This record gives sequence, structure tokens and C-alpha cells, in this order.
Amino acid sequence: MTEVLLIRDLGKRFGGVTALHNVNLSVGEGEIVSLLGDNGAGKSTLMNVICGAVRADEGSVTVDGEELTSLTDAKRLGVGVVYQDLALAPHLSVTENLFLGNEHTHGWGIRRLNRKRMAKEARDAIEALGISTLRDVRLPVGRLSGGQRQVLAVARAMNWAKRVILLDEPTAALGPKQVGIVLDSIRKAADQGIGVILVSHDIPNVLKLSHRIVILRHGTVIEDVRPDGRTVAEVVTKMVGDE
Amino acid sequence: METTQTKPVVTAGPKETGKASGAGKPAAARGRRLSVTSLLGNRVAQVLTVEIALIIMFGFLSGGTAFFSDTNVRNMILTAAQVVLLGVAQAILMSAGQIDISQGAVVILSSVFGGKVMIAMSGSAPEAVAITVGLLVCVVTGITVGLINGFLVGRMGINSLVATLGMLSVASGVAAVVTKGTNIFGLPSGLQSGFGFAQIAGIPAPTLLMAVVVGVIWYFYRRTSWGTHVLAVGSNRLAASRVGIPTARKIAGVFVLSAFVCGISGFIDLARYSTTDISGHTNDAMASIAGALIGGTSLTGGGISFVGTIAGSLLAIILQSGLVIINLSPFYQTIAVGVLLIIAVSLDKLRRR
Repeated sequence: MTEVLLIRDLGKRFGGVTALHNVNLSVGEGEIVSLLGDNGAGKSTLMNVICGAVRADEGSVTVDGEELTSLTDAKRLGVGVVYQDLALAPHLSVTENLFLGNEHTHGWGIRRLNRKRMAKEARDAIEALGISTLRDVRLPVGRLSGGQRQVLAVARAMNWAKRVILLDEPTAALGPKQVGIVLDSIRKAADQGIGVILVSHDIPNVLKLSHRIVILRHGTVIEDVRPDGRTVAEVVTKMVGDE
Repeated sequence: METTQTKPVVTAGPKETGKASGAGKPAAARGRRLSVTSLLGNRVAQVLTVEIALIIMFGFLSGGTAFFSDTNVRNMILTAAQVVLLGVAQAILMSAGQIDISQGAVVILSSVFGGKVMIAMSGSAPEAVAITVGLLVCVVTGITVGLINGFLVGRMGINSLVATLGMLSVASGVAAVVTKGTNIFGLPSGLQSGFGFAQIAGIPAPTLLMAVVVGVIWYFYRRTSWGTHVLAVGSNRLAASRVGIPTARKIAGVFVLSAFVCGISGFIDLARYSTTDISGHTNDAMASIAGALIGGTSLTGGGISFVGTIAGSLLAIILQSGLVIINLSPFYQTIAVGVLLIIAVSLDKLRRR
């Protein structure tokens, strides 16, 4: 399996607190890797470093062999992200949020927004996720339900991700039906050769979905294994360190 | 011209953009159903209704001639040149979640520098050249101040109210030092005759300049990704930065735009009065904020209404002109604008409950 994402000897400190140290991780094409850990284990910091939002103090993150150190790098290298807080602009429409920072433009010289194309593609992206309740892509995001916002954030990340997609609690605000839709989308993305890193507290689904589970404790990887045969209790025990 | 964000058709709540009035109107939602209900709930329609009522009232109270006289109408249109320019610039800042209370001081500073240069060049260069260089100096002065404001707010993270409060003091202080506190005279006569008092197709040249500047700003805001990015910064700065939008640069950009517009306004000031107004312009920023707010632009970012801002800005002009004509103190204008502002914001609050 070709490695798409490679993390080597990663370290990050915030003042006197070591958030990450000596983290090594790789994700192959089409591989779903879940990051698990107790609160404060370093999952969110690691996600932020991988997506370029936070710069590491030590080590490196590479996508297809190219170093990633900023959000711009992440965008250029085809890394899509679903942030835990979703990172949506509530006053902008579904379409505007879906294409924010990545708008389709047309014309010579001054590039004008191609709103028709974006609206059509937004409808297609939402339909592809099977969300029948979110038909009007002109709606401001502030008027959407929590679940609809979550689906929109996933759709945006899927839209952007060409090589890697990072999902930080992508099913947190969803009902059972929508959880199924999002998990299916993750599988589809992986089937297309996109490497997936998933952070989730939904351990039963994580065990079903993932090719590998990586357990973080105190800012470092303590286990990197296939989930086959693991029980939720075993995983939780590893996470909290109460062996 | 149209609002940058329009009401989603499914909603029946407040019609204006921005956090202050709900979730705002996304730019993509162009379709709009016209009905009596929607018109009554539409801020632009409300402001225009008040303005038409005021125009009819002032026309009636002035005997039907004075308010509608050519001179008065021309004066109001001329005054609109500066008021609308500053209002639109302020609305754009507000859509990015920022505010600029140094606008009036920047108008003064740019007019002082521009005026000084024109006077200095008057003897040695052709008048047209001196005036053109003066215009450039006004604009460059504005842009310089805007860059400083933009750096302080966008890069240093200083609250825009605090940064521009400081700039208000610095800019007006520098203007006073440069002029020793007195207005400058001796500007090229062609400045007033060739631009300030000039008309093209019956419309004052400064008003036409304002229309062009506002039209260009509107075009870029509405038709390019710049406007969407500014709105995104105002709506959720963290979200905007996470999708790769250079938020500090966008914020600096809107401050530069505001100050650039102040520079143009400073030039118009020189052209209209053939002198500076060192002690004036104290209410410019407050008037532009009020115009934008009355027109429906939220103070907290994420939404904007261009038409509303223009309508809101014109309200103060109509009030001031009308009160003078019916022999009431123009000081009542500030009271009336304040009352209308409070009513407009209160109506939004009530509607959202």
C-alpha cells in the first residue's frame, strides 16, 4: 500500500506542557486510521498539526513526500478537514461555505464568482450524501440544524480532499441515520484511494470502520494495531491506561 | 445595485443581514418574493418609506418650493457624495466585524496634505497637474493611515475601536500641527470650478465620483470572492482562516479601503469649500456607522446591505436639509437620526423574539 501521509518524530509543546512527543504514524492510500485516546491525550493537537493549523516544534508531516507545515500546504496537497467545531461561517449560505476559500470563478482579468456552477455542485454534493432535509443550498448555515451543519462540514471536506481527509468527531451531533450516511461516505472516500484519519469517541463504529486504530496517551502513540478481534472494553482500557 | 446578501426565501424573520438580525442573508440567494409583508419587513423599504414621508412633510412645510428648489436638491446630492462614500466604507468594515471611528480625522488629514501640496505646486506647475497631484496625495495619505489601522487590527490583534480611536487622535493632531490649527486657503481656483461645483448632465461631479467609487466597490464585493471572504471573516474568523483565507490581510484590506475612501472624501471637501475644515468632521464616523446600521448592516459582522447603507446615509441629509428649511435648528437632525437608529435596532430585536 502506497503511503500517502507520513508523520515522523513529531513533537509539540505549549509553554511548559508537552502535547505531543515522538509521534510516528503513516496512512496508506484508501486506508482508514482511527486516532483514539482519552481527553488530553493529544488527538486534537495532532489533527491540528496534520492539517497545518498548528506548526510542530519537532519532526515532520509529509503528504506524498511533500512537507506540510501550513493550512496553505494542506490545501495545495489535497488535505480536507472536518474540524470538531465544524469551522463554518453561520452567515454564509450552504454553497458559500462549501466552496469557501476554494470558489469557482470565471472570466478574464477580474475573476468573477461562478455562482451557478457552485450552486449546482453544492446540490450534487449534498445529494450524494443523501441528505433529503437539506435541499436549499441558499440557506444560511446559521439556520441549519446541528446535524445538517455536521453533514455540510463533511461534504466540504470530501469536496476538497484529494489525498487525505481528517475527521475530528464527524458524527458527534448526528442521529443514527445520518451517522450511517457519514460512515458510508468515509468508506467511499477510502475506496477512491483517499487516506482517512478519524477521531471519534464512537468506538463500536470505529472498530467496524477502521483498518487500523492508533491509541494516543500522554501525547505519544502507545499502540498502532488492526482492530480485528478487539473489544470496546479492551480499547477503552488501553486509552485510559487502567490496565 | 443590490444587497450583497439576500433573504433566503424560506424565512419569515428579520430581513436584514448580520448577526444582529439573525443568520443573515447569503449572497447566493438572489431570488426574492415581493409581497406587501416582505416589503414591510424589509429594512430598505422601511427606510425609504420614512424618507419619502419626510420629503413630503418637508415639502409641505416649506410651502412646496424651498425644499424642492434646484439649489437645495443639488446641495443634498452634493452632500451625499461624502456621506454615502463613508457609509459604504464603514458598512464593509462592519461586515468584516470591524469599525473605523477615525474616518473624520482621516478626511481632515488627507485634505490638509492634499491641500498643502496643491498650494505648494500652484506657482510652479500647471493647475491641472497640481490638482491631480493633490488628489493623489489625499488618496495616498488615506491609504497610509489605512495600512497602519489594518496592521494594528489585522496583524497585532488590537480591537478596531481602540486602534481607530488612537488613530482619530493621531490624525487630527497631525493635521492641527501641520496647519498650526488654522484652515488652509489659496487652493487652485480650478479645483472648485472644475470639480467641486462642476456638473455633468446636471449631476454634481463629486456625486458622480462617489457613484463610480461605490459602484466599483460593490462590483468587487458582490462579484468576486473578495466580498465572500470579507463576510466570512466577519461571520467566523477562525473558520475563514481554517479554509486558508488570509484573515489578517483581508482585515487590513478593508481598513485600507475605508481610508482610501476617506482620502477621496478629503479631496471632495477641498473641492467643495476651497479650504480645509480642521475643526469639522467630528461626527463623520458616527454618521457613517448610523447610516450603515439604519440600513441594516450588522455591527458584528457577517452581513451587509449596500442599498440599505445608501438609504440610511441619505436619511441624515434629508433630515438636516429639511430642518434648516423649516427654520428648525439642524441640531435636531442628530437627535432624529439617533432616535431612528434606536428604533431600527429595537425593531430587529423585537422581531427576533
